[in-house]
Amino acid sequence: MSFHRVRTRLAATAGAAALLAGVLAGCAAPAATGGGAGDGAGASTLSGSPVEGGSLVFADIELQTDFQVQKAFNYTQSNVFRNIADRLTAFDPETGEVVPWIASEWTVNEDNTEFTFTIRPDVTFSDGTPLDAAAVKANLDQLGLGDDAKKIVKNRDFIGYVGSEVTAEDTVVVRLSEPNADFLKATAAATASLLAPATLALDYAGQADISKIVASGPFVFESQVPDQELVFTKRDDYAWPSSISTNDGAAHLDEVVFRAIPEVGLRVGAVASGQADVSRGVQPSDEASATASGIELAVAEAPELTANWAAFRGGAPVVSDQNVRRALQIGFDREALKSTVLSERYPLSGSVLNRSAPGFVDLSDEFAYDADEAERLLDEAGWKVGSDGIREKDGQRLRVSIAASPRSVVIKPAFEFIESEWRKIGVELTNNAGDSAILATALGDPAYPIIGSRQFYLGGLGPLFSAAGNTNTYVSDDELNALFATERAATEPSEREAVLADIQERLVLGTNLLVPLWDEVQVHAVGKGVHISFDGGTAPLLQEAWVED
Amino acid sequence: MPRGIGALPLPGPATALSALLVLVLVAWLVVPGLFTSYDPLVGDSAEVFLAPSVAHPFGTDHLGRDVLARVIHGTTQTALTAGLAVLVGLALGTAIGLASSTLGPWADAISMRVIDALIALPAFMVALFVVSAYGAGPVSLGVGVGIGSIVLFARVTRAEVLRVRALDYVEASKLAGAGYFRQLFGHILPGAAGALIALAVVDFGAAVLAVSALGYLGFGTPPPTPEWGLIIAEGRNYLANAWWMTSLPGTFVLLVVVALGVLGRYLGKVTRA
Repeated sequence: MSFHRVRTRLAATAGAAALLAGVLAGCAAPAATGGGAGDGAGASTLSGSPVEGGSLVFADIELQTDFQVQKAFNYTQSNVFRNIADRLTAFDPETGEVVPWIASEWTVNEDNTEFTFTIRPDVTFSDGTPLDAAAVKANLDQLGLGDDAKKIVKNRDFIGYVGSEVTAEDTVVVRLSEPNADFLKATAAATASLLAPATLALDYAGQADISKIVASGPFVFESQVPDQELVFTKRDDYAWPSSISTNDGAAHLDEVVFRAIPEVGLRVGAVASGQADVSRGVQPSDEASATASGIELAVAEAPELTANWAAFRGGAPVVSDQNVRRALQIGFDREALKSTVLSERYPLSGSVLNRSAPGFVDLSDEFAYDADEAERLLDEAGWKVGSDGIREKDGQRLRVSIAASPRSVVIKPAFEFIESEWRKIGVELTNNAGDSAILATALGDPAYPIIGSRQFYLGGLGPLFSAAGNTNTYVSDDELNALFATERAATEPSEREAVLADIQERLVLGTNLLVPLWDEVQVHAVGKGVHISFDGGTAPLLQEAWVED
Repeated sequence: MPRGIGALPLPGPATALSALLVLVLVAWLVVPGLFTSYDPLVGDSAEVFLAPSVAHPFGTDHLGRDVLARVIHGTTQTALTAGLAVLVGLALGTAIGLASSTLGPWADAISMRVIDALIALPAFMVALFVVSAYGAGPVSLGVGVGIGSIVLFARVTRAEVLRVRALDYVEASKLAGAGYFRQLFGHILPGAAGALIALAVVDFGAAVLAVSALGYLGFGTPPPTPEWGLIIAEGRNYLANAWWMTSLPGTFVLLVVVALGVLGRYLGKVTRA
């Protein structure tokens, strides 16, 4: 059989195989062996006594060019902001509570409309100006009101912000026009980082330029190579970390470098070869080889973010039909998804929120895999199986597409898997996950059917899924909006949890607008002798980190 | 004129192997289902990242799909796109070459300067340009790569026509009163055809490489439809733990391009002999 003989010959040449593939790929990762799961992992490698000095290279998936603070929704921005700027409050991932940072204490009035912050004394920005009550007011005003003249939009979490008032040298009072219990948490988000008045005076381009941003954090901008690396140096007189920091004073490290390594297959190799100390975004298939070569895997959980989900745009063709949405929600095998393209480090999601989040309700039984039911729903919706297995209605194919950011390493392969699952029930999926250009247009296009994402939600789920500025579902659901308002007005924790449960149920089961996927975690490769921990938004806490000689 | 079949130079072992590989390719193109029982689109989640074995000669990928099955089914996409490219290059290139060599000095000067300008642009860049302007997809990809090969066909056609036109039998037909088109299609083109066919085969190999390279960069058929360049690109992220996902399809593309080059050279020799 000639066919078989050719194949045997090809196998014989396998030794010289790197040739063309190597040329096309333009790179080669260090060889590694192994398969299956690695050993246990934790989000912190802080142990032993800190070593002073040295430099730490943090390899990220990409570097942003826009650092305008209200827009710091992305990991690549929040990772930087966490280390160069301070916030009024910090979110404690252990307790889920908000703890003091620049605000040493605060009070809230009974109906969640007035927040009084006491500002810590003796805090200065790196240009020497004080971070006092007046500076806090200037920051809150830009966040809460935006600046139309500079095209700076409002912070989406500052709902109902009316204004701030400096009532004493160290006291700021914030007034809201409607109750918002989530306002306090919103001040702990990267998008509420505090900047020097000199920076706030700049126009949009100036505020977006990392080299011009002056803040009060433990590291200060030093230099950059656009799209490649950002270098920050330690501020010696830093002495005002959040109350949960393990280090009261200046950073142990002299210098930190954020370096972009967009090629996902290379990030573990970069740590193995010592080119980076820490890499964010280790793909599941590299986990085993990383642990085999002595690299520690630090899994940062993300209670500050929602779980990963696919959101249907309610008005888009095909998915505007709730039966289709329900069919897609239950039309793929999540266990197989996990075993194929994820790893044991990615818990399957049971709701919009991560399992570790306060108020999480487990709805997973309600959207369990059921291909027969999915097919029945699609039949009922009028989509009949065509000649090539893909369903059709009125001459139109049952085709949907998904856009998602390249900042998650698992979302593209995950949708490659889901594509093959949906194909079995007669649905064609165009997988654009990982293409940031397509994502940018899809976010602004309500007719684009599906967006895959997970988002910071310290300001509550309302800003993500309610009426104004909701680019996730483009749906304004009266019942949901009412629930969001109730949640913001709730004062008792038990009352809030009950409303939060209703919100999750409405989003996932009532409207079928969201397909829960997996809990958000970021897997980091950490080199030998590197001691680092992460906050609840998976940002590295470099003020507390150190590197052994 | 090409000689009779009896005078063919004997093919060497390299030529024979190349011909065999091309025959296999044709078979994959026509009846891919006969050569693999695996589904190129839907994988088996229990068989993720399996190294090459008898059951999976090219191993399996991150979704548990058989890589060889994807290469076999990808033949259609890659070969048709490359075929379109050769067709575009052959048709336009030959037309320009004929015009320049038979329509007088002005036509020659103008068309050859256009060709010189095209030479200055790397073919790969021209293809990229077309694909970015008209959107990713097999048709724009084929046309884009084809435009890049117009140059080759035009220059070879022109040279061949100039050679053939000076031959006695063509001169004779001209003296006998044959018209322009009679000369062109009755005598000149058949005389030049051998070289063009040989060039088309070599160019097909180059087109396969260009199509795969652009497919690798994401300008070809959108996934999950198998296409050689895309298959290699999909393996790129898994180089560290699954070398076979890039290396084996990559080596295969390399062999195909070499085989087409060898066959093209043989055909060139045959038709020139």
